[in-house]
Amino acid sequence: MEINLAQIIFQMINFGMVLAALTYLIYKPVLKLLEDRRKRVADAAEAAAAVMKEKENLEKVKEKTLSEASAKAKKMEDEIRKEAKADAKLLLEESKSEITAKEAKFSSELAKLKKEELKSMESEVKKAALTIAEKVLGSSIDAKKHQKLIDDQINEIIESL
Amino acid sequence: MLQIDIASAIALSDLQKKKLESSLQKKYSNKELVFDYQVKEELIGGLSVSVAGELHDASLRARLNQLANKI
Repeated sequence: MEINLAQIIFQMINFGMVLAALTYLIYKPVLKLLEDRRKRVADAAEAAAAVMKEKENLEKVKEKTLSEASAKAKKMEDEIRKEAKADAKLLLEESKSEITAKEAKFSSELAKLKKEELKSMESEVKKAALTIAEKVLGSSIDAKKHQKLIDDQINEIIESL
Repeated sequence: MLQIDIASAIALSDLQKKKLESSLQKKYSNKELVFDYQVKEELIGGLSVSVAGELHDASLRARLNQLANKI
């Protein structure tokens, strides 16, 4: 077998041209495609990382908001309880004061009523005593005693004039 | 003229009237006295004399009233 240098050179040029054509038509576009894909993947990963970071931030904000809301609700609850307790205490004190005042008024009225009743009874007793005395005296004084009494009283009146 | 009203539980005897009138006449010697006698059973006993509106009440009724006021 004889080596044909021209043939070899031709083949080499041919190969080079095919290689150049393939490089230009396939290799470079494929490389560009791969690069574009890598870039898209990287962008997507970056976007995903940003989204994850955003999600984490949102979670933190959510937790903070929930915590603040919970603390605020607790504070409001405490304040409401405190106010309710103070109101109840005030109401109780007012009720006690009112009851004390009513008791004092009732005692005063009762004492007044007792006094009036006692006075009325005393008056009734006086009237009864007077009536009894009148009846006893009226029935026990005879004409002789009447005359004697008048004689005595004439002297008494004359002395007093 | 001086009006003298005399009230008693029973009617006064003439002697009692005379005694009363003479005593009063001595007391008011410069005046003419006019006597008016009344019987008031409500006096219970004794008599009251009113000289020109001034009352001297010695009746048992008056004394009972005084007693009632003191009780």
